Amino acid sequence: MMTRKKCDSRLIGTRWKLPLQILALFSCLLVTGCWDRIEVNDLAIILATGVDTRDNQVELTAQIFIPRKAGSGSSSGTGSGEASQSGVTMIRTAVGSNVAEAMNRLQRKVSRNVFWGHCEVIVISEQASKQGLRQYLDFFLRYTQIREHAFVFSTSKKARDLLALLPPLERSSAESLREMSNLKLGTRVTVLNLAQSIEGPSRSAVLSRMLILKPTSGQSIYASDPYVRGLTLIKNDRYVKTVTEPMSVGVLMLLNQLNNIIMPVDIEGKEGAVSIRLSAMKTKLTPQISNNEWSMKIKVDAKGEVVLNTTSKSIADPHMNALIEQQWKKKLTGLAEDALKLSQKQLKTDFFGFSIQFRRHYPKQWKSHKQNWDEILENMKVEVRVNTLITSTGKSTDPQGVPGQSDRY
Amino acid sequence: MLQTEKVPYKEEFTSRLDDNHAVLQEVLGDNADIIFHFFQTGNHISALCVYCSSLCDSERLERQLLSPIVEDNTSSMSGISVPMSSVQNVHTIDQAILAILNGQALLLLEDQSIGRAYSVPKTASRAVEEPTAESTVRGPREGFTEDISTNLSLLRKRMRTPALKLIATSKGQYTNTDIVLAYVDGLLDPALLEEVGARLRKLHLKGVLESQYIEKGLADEQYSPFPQMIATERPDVVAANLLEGRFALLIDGTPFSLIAPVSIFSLLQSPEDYYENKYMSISIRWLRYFFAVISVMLPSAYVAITTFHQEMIPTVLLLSIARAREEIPFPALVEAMIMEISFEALREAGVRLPKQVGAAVSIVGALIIGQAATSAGIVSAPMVIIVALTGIASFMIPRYAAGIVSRLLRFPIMLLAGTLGLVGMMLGVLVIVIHLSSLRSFGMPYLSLSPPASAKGRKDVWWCHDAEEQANRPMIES
Repeated sequence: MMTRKKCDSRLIGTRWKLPLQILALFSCLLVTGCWDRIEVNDLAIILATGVDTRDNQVELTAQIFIPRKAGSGSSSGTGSGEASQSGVTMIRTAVGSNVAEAMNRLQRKVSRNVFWGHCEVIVISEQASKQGLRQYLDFFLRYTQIREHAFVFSTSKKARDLLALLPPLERSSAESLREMSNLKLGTRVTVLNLAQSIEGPSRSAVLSRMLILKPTSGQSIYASDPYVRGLTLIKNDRYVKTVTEPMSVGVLMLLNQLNNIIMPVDIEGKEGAVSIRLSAMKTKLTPQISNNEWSMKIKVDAKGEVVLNTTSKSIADPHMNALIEQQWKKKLTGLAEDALKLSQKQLKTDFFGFSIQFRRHYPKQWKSHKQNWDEILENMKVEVRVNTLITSTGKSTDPQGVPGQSDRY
Repeated sequence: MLQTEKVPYKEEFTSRLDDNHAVLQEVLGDNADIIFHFFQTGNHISALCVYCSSLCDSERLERQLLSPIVEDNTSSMSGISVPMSSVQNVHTIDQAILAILNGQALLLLEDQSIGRAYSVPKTASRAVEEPTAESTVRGPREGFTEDISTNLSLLRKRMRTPALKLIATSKGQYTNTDIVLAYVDGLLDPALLEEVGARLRKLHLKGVLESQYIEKGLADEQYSPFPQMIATERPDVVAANLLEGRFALLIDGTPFSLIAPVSIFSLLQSPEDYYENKYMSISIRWLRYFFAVISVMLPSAYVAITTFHQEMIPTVLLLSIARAREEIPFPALVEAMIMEISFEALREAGVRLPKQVGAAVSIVGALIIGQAATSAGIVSAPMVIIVALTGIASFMIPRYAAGIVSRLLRFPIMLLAGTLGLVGMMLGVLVIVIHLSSLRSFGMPYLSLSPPASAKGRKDVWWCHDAEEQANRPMIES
């Protein structure tokens, strides 16, 4: 245990051996010069990608961050206002017979290494999705730099125009899009989700549809934001339909993705209406096969808070409360049924993932019947059960602002 | 067991005073501060007092030694009675020379083949002060001084047990520096004790001016940058380590004494860990471990990630870095090197300069160079933050010697990270880990978690040990 390493006399003789060896090793690293480092200064950081079509070719648009315009660190106090006016991002567009070729041509138009590792937003125009999403998806999931959790949006305009926007509030329109996705205003779909839902048994997908907000008068046409308006429905890998409110609310509800919404509810037989802010919603699909008859039970649990009451009745009144819940339930049921009708009868597409549930719960029956799934779906009996609960009346119980109200009691 | 350096003149004193004088005169005669004082005792016997005037208190010598002897009537050495306690019989010339050079006064009488060395030291040591290199908020404020007897008293005061053994020896052909090996009998592994003795015996040095001379000579692995002994100037740290089954070497002329065997974790422990509230100590200790890693790795991680793995940085952070780096003419590696080297230079300048000028260095360095370099676009602001964090991290390591290692290892890892990215960084880490796991400190593995002799065990590394205190805590009788 206590043996001390003896100092070899040869070692002392060649005392420079070790430092020389280390030096030689390090020069191997440095002298070759074939390091594949890329400085941040040499990167064109792409924040968003847009896919359009032009003359049956793919038009790829990249939104590139301009570091110089973002204002240099210390003087950001004065520079930031100006910076976003003149634009922190720029766009470059390239056309190619497929998306990979377009990307290759795009690099020729940019003086720095195009870097897709931070592309968190992909916008696919409805025009482009009519041609089929397959080729884009394969590329986005294969090319190593692109993140598979980039959010995917659709637009009825050109994706290029959406990316050209320089929003006054956010650093870039890519950031606006991402933030909106995080607010759950529409569906929250990543490249991976999109591919999975198209490749899955439901063979469909629902994307948020973005439009361009009209800029306030006097401002540049680019000084504007994208905004969410409706949903784009994709069947197989192609665009089929655009839905807007109120249909889109029903679709989101059945997708279990309805959030952040205030719904007006009319009260039958009473003057005025109440508005309910949705605080929690859960949609549960329960498939059932009995006597070879396929049916689906949809259970929706909605909780809400009253934010506006223009009727003359107090919400603290249990009868009124029950009435509101009942009316709300009626409204939600109506929305769900409309959405189901769209899915089953009109488009004959399983947007809500019924097939996934059947495959999960009845794998054998699914296997033998999946050929006639479209038929089964069309004629399936779907039962919608909505439970509503008003959890809060807001800050006030009684109706406010009614003339002479406090004299009544 | 321990032996002093060999000095020639092993022969014994003769009974003739003149012969003895001649030999001593031959060895020591050329020195201005060696005094040969001939006089007669009360009995008219010739006597010779040899002492080193620079080391002896001449007033005390006259009052306590010379005056009584001049009035004394005995004729033999044993008959002399003087009011002094520290007396030593000297038989050989080399003993006599060592005694004189140690500051003792040698008394020789005619017809006596024996000499006597009286200790009349002139103390020129500084007072016990607060240790400057290892300050704590809570805990004793005494630090070792350059005087070994003061240091021994500080240690003995803390450990009042006969089990504390202090074995003296001396090293250095020309310095004859006193070295004291301290250990607690029963706690130190006897094999280890033997090993230390053997290594000390084998050690031949020209001189010992600081504990590093000894440390270098005793270390298991000469080429390792890692300290294999802890240097401390705190007596409480020495005492605590003796209780954990380690030994200490106290060296005359330096306030730093050495402790071994050590592991890397003992380098990261501060004495205060045991003096403060347990939970506070544990969190601070973990913070220290974390920052010890930071101090070696942070610049390399930054260089590797920003030049090879940009996709690993969160988008918004990358945009900020891109913005800050836009104007910078250098690659990240060069930028990091420039900053780290100038930081080391600043630190070195700060240590060397007198205290009054030190403040000026920090102003020039931190404010002017740091601020100007960023605003001139030569160095990016994130890099300044990284270097500053690394600097703070290396100051958090309680042992100065271990802090130096982190400063040294940073540079090769940075080169590796700049050429091979994270792969290179991991290579560097692997080399360090392999080296650490093969390193031994006096036979004890450098990565071992538990001190040599202690019930504390491994728990002390990631937790603060308190089992002993728990067991012996007085219970409230109700």
